[in-house]
Amino acid sequence: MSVEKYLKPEVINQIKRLDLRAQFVVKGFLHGLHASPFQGFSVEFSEHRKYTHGDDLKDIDWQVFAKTDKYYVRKFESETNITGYIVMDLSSSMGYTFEQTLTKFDYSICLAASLAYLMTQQQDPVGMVTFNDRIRASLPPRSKRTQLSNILSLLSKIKPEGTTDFQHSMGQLAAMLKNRSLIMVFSDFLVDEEETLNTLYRLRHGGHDVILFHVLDEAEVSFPFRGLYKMTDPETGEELKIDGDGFRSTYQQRIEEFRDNLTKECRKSGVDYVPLDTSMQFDRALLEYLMTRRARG
Amino acid sequence: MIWANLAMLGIGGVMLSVPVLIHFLMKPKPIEVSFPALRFLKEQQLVSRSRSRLRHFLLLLLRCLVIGLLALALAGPAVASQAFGKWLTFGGFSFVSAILGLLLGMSIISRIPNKLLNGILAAALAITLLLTGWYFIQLFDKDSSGQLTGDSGEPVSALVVVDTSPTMQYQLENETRLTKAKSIATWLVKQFPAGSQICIAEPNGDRAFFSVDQGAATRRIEALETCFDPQSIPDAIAGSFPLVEESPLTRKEVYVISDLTRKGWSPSEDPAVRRLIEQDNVNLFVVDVGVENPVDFRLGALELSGRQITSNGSLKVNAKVNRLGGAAERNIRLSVEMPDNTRPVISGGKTLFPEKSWVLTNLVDVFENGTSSTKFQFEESLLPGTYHGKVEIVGDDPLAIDDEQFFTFEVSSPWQALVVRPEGTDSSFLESVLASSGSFESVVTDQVSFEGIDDLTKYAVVFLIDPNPTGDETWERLEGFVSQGGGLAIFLGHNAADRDGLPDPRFQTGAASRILSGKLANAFRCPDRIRQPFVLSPQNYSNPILSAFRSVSTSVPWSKYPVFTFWGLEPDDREEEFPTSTVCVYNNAEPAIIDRRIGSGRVLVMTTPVSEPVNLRGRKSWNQRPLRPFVWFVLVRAITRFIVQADSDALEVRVGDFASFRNDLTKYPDSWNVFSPDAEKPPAKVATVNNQVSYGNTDMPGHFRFKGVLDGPVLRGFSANIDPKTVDLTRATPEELDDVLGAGRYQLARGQEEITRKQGQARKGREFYPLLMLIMFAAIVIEYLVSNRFYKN
Repeated sequence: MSVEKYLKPEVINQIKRLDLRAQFVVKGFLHGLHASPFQGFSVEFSEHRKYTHGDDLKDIDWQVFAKTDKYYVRKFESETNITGYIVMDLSSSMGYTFEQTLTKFDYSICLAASLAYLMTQQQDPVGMVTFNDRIRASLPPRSKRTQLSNILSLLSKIKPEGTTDFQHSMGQLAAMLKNRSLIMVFSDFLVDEEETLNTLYRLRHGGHDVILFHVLDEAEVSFPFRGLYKMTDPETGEELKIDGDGFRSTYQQRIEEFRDNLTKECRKSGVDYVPLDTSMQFDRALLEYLMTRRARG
Repeated sequence: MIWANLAMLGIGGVMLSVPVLIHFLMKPKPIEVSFPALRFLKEQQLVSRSRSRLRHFLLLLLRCLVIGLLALALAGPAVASQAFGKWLTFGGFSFVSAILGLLLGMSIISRIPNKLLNGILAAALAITLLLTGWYFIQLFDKDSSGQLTGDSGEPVSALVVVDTSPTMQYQLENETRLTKAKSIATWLVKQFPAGSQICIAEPNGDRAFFSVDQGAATRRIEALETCFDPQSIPDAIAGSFPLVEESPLTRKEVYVISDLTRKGWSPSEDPAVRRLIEQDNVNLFVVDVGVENPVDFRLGALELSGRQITSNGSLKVNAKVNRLGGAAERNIRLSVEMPDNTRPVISGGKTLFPEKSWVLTNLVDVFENGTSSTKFQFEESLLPGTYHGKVEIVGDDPLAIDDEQFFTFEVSSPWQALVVRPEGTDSSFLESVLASSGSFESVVTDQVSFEGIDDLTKYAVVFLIDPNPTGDETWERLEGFVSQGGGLAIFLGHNAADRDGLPDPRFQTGAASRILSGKLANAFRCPDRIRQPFVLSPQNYSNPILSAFRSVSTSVPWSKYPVFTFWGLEPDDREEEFPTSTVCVYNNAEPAIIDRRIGSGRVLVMTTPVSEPVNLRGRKSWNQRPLRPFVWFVLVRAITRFIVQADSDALEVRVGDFASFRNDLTKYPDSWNVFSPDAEKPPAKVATVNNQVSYGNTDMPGHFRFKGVLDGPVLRGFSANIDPKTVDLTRATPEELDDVLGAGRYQLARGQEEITRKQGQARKGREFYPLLMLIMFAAIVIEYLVSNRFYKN
């Protein structure tokens, strides 16, 4: 339990270093897995195969060589070679929080860092792309351990700003990808639904696996506003005066409809959709990743 | 409806503009926040804004309502108690209408209008609006809305009726009901504003009047005493209410202070009571000073064997003891005053009465709410004269006034009776009756000897047993004897018939008819002596001759005394001259016993013999009596006493009644001093009129003693007792009170606090202040909750 507490956003928020955050989240997650049906996901030795050019010399099993005089390398679960891209929405709306704990962006970064940590631990190549109205930064996928620090360094530098153009940004990303990859998108998807779905269809059409981490603020899901409010859209600057009580039920119904529609359409097109809000534990996202990885392995 | 502070309504109207101005000019400042998912809100903006406006409108309404209610409460509206229920109902329906209207409005502008729900709400709203309208109209129905007089210091025209009936002497906590009633009446009088007209009335029939001031009213209350012959309370109200009704003062109030015993609350047909019930501008209060569960011993009316006995006779007194409450035993004491010619006498302004008495005591057990009786036999050697006595229950009793019954009887020398019968006629039965009573000294003679007797004045009574025909001189002589106060009893029989069985003409002369109350017509013979004999068939038992049978009237075995033959009489036309009445008839409705007054005496004619022998030979008997003829014995004995007018003097009357008795100036003085039982009261003087003395001021129970002088002091008197019905403690039920005073017309109170409260309700009406304040606080709470939701930080 002592390690698992780091799966809670309010606990992880107290840790300032991103690498530590990622480490704690993953350790907490893995600790939980040992007692779970997903135990086999841990990085373990599986079998031997013949050495081929390009294999890391340090993976050669020298004991087998001594016995057989042939080069064998140890085969790990990670040998499935998933190339993952962490795609992070940088738009201003991601910087929103109501309860002043973790913004959607902070939550996404924490989750992304944890995923990066987990992937590098499993020696999966992982890259990173940030976007708002276009792609703002990218790191090509690598499986080396130094890749983690690169990703964390990038994550710690970025800040939410600007508006979202998901379609355009994903078009750019698709053009960048040469191999079949696992694209893990972190966004609130507060853009046109149809545009989002069309973009996702195209990515899938390109043979990529897609996991959508739909991150919303807790207030965007539960709508806790009571009384009169003047609300401003952080991206468009639009304003609206509302009576919270009068809007709550219809808003909640609408947001649920929005998430249900995404779930349905994603399922139809083979995209994994993970609805999250900033009050949820991080393990949900990590588990989703491992499930996808297993399906591909 | 009246308003304590009408100006507050105007101020409230102005104040109502405050929340309206606040609503329109000082709109609340919204909290500014950033919200990325704004596009979802914009989609719902139109519907939600309408709902928001509705909520703000509701808030405005609530604020206006709070101020409106506050102004209304401070304005102090009040309505008459009778109309309070209507106002509450009207308010309730208005409230329900408002709620239904609000719900309907909300339902109509909701996102998903429900036609069925809207229909139901609209129908319910229509019904409640109709009912609200109906009750609104009812509010202006003056017949049942009541009127209010306001709580100002205006003088009031007040009638205070204090029940002074004997039951008000009931003691509880060392205080009689009358004392309590007087104390409440005094307190009431002190409460009335200066200048009020106050009438203190009691149920004694006296004329009502307004006291000159409050002091006089208080003194009048202090002087109130028990009235032993009271009117009913409604009659007392009826006698006094016109005074209040005609008063120029606008505020009129009637207070009745009573123990609410049933006997005093019989409904009155007097129009004044109807007017009081109908005039709802007169406030009517009934103050109950009675006891819910009273306990009492009560002595019933005494039964005396006779009011006039002879010196060697005895007096039997039967007393009934009634118990209200649990079983108990009590000593019942009979006392008879010993004669004392020196008393009553005035000494030091007070009357002194005889002090020595003969006393007899019996112990009586009485069951719970039951009745027991006890008998006294008083036998003393008494000199002729008038004797007073009383029977009383010894021991404590909350209502002592009904524990005594007074009686008076006269002792005289034995009456001289002359029994006249034809030779060979049997008169033994009558002789034995006369001898057994001890009150008669009888002389028996045959009819021939009787016609030779010149002076009949030494006899009190003459009995003619189955007389033979006789001449007019004898009839005229007998008429003269009767007219001077003598008694004559004639028992007709077979001797009055001629050989053909028809009436002898000598019985049909004018002189004979005057005595016989008619002309002897024919003899009635029964068709079958065994199966269809005649029997006596009394129609009522009010005559003293039959009064002994009154209590057993349905079980007297008259059929064991068959009458086979009797004389029929043709009534003469002298009834105006000689008052005549039929005492008893046969079962064929023909007269059996006829009473005729001639002068100051009376004649009694029985149309069949009284003394027919049991075993008769030579002719058929006219009637038959059993071997133990108890009924016949009682009947004949009553005839003998009646004919000497033994119990004709009113030696006992009810309180309030006139007492009247014969005053033979040869034996008694012409004028008398009458001493009341109240020792403080000076004696009154009465004189003889038409050989009668009468006295009517019998205002309390006890002995009323007549004292005159004729060769020394002469004493007579009578007793007055209260009517046992007037001391019945049974309480009137609320329904009976409603019958008398009208349901909902009067306010019933017990103590001073309750009177004050009900006075307030009647004068100021029922105030809405507490109710309005309660609703206002509820509105404040709702307003707080709603505004908190709207303006939460």
